[in-house]
Amino acid sequence: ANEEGVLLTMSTLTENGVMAVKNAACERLLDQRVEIKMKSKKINDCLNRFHVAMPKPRDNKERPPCIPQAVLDARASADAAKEKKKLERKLEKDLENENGGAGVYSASLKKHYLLADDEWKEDILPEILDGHNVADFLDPDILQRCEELEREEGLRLEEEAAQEAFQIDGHELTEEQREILGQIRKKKALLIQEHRMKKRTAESRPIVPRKFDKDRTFTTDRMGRQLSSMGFDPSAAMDRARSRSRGRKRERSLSRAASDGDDMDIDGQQSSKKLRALSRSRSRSKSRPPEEVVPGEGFKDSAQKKKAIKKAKDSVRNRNKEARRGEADRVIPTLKPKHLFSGKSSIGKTSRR
Amino acid sequence: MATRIQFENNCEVGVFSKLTNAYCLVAIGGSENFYSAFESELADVIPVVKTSIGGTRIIGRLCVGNKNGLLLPHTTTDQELQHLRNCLPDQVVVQRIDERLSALGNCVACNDHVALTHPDLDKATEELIADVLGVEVFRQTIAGNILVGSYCAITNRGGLVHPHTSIEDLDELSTLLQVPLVAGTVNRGSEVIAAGMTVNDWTAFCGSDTTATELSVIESVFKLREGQPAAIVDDMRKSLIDSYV
Repeated sequence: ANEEGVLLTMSTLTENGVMAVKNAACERLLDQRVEIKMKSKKINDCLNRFHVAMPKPRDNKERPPCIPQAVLDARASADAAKEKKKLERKLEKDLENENGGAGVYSASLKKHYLLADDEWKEDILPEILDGHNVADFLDPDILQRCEELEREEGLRLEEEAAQEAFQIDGHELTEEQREILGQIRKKKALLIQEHRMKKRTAESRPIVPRKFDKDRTFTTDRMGRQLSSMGFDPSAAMDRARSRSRGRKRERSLSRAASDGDDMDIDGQQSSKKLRALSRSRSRSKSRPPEEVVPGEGFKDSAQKKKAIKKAKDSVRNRNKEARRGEADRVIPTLKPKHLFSGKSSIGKTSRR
Repeated sequence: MATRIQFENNCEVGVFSKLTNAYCLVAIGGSENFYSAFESELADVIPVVKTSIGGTRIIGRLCVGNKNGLLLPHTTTDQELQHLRNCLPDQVVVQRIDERLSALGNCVACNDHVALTHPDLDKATEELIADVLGVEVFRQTIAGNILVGSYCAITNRGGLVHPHTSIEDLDELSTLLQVPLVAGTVNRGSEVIAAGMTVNDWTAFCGSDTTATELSVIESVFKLREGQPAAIVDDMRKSLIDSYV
């Protein structure tokens, strides 16, 4: 009732207006369906398909289409081209139908080759020749490639020469710099040697306290050098160290004086001649030869004492050769132990043993 | 203009063909119908080459090329390589590359000036693509998919990408590629764009399942007829709403 009425006239007899009625009906139907679908939610999923993305320029490069002139000419004269095409062109489909149909007709793949000489189209090119793949040896540009390789080689050699020249320039050192470099390298070599020695003997070298100084490396001169390297004046410390060593010498003389004092005290207490001789003999006991006669031993002279010593040694020789401990060792061993010199016997033979 | 075809009852025509501005590769089929569909449209202008790659017919997914060059996977035999070199014009460089991702058509999408590549492609392969095809190379994903070669089709005049690409991604990709882009489908809703169609600057071939609305979007965005990409927003809005929602 709300829709506008549209009155269209048509006649199926004369076919006037029939298409107009159809178009009008279809348009109204399409509008109706579109209106309904526009209200639904599904259209949101398809919005990207109603969008044509037009490009924004990103550089100044031209990207034209590539349409051959023949196509443009054909479009300009569409009708004439169509008729002409139908008359002239014989398609593969037509050839197939003429020559037995599908499954029978076998088209030549070489028919449309674009070669320099059309007579080459039907040449037979072998795949395998003398056991080798022919395609591995086909290279029309081989001479060109050889020239390119030679050119690249020349460029590479020139670059290497330039590199060498650059390196030679870089190695020029002044005299002073060379000396400094030598010192640095020497120091590095020494550090490396020290490290290797430490590493080699780290497990087997015992740690000795410094006060023993078994290598005698802690000298006054060394202390002086170290103090100088630290920036101090070492003369006072060195003098003090040396004076301490002189002080030790004085202490030694004092100890000798003390021992002499002790001897004098002993002499003071007992003043007899016998005691004096005894003390003298004790003080000289280590340095006296064995044949020297000391008063009180009972010998008249050195020859007699010497003879007595000889007799004493002769008397103990036999005893020592018998492996006895002394004169009191009177052990008598078993010279014929029966249990070692007799064999085992069978049952009933005890009396024989 | 766009043409609907199929290859042996399979509508994924982009799998069995590769169309550029300088040549067209077509798989060897049991009959000549598929080949003749390309031949009738293109044979007067560019060479239409019947070939296989590595003994397979899925040549559109194994190779990538434009008017400057053609890159083939390492599975290509020497005879196939020589056959392609014999058939293509001299300015087209035919190169076989060692790349572990051997389905190059799925990993690379390119026109004559820009290429999008799989993020995990080797650095050496990327440089080779830039050299042989003469393009700027960008590592990109499309709607979160790393197989950029499968989910978009681009020429020098326009591009069609995965239907779930967001508006921000569309604008970003459009600036990278410097062509208008639209999110769409082929073969009655299939989002694998490059498998369902193959296109160059003046013609396109789609699977026979492609609907009239999809065909209109394709012709509009690639400027195959007199139409312009803006028509998608203006003239075709009602039809698209009726189809998509």
